[in-house]
Amino acid sequence: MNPSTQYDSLNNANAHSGEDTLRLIATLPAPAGLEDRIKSRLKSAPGGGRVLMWPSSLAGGARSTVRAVAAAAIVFVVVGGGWGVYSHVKPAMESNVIVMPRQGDGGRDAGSFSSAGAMRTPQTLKGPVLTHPEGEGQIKSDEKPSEQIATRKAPRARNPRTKTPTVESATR
Amino acid sequence: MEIFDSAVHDATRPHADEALAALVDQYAATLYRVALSILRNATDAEDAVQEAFLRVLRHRETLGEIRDHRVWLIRIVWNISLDRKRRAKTRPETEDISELARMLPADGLSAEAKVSAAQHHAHVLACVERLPAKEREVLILSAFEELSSVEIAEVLGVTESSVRSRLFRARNLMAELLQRPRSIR
Repeated sequence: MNPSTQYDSLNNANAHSGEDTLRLIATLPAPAGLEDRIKSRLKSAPGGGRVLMWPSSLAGGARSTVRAVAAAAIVFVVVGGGWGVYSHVKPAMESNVIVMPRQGDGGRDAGSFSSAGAMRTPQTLKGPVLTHPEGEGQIKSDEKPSEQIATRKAPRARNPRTKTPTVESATR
Repeated sequence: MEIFDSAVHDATRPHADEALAALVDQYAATLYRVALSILRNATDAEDAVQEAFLRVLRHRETLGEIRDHRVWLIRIVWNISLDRKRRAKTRPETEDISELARMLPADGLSAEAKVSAAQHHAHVLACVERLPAKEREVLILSAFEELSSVEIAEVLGVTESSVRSRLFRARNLMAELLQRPRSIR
């Protein structure tokens, strides 16, 4: 016999032995008197979901009349109750004084916040600030560092009274 | 066992109680066994059957509209039993299994064989409990020879093909579980 077939047959035997137990449960007899107990329980139970049962002695026309009267009575009770509530509620008394808004607030309501006199200044763009005149701080590339220092220091040591000869005065 | 459907279908409101009594006589035992196969306890199973018939009592006006009373009632008691089993977590499952195993018939066996048979049944029931819910439900219902696969599908609210595939898986799983040594649980 093929091993897989043998395994399958063994599996089937095991499974069937398990199902036999379930079949035994499925064939167990019910306890004695089960039906009678259920019937007595059903008799003692309330009549189910019937909320309102119409008397069976009423004929078809009379039953509809009774239904219409009952519906009218329900409507009357609901409307009457609503009217009772409405008639007992008094609206609030209206005031005779009319409050006008103050003119000094620039048309604002009295309850709103004020600016407390603060003025709004728009933010402007700050440009670059020049500390020295143009061309004074520039250093010529062919000058030596010592000469550069000297030329920088020279204006400080210069006497305002002495005038350095210019090209124009020399030609004169 | 077939119910006299005409007795129920012709039932109007005055005859509804009689039709309900006929249903009790006809199906109480079947419903008890269905409930017992799930709940594994005789008292709980009887309570479930009573609750099922109380539900039928509330809807007795619609009894005439039911096509198959047997499947309809089994479905009611099935759902009630599953619901009860879900809620009842107070009693350990092993107690119910051993109690049910003792209830199973073992006529013509010696005392020793009876004990052995009860142990075997308890082992099988423990294996059934370990199956996935869908496979377990189909396997339990398939044990009722009076239910066809179409009726099982109707009770569970699934298709017939899925009933067959679940039953196939359940049998394979049961075979594997039963092959394992009992010490491994």
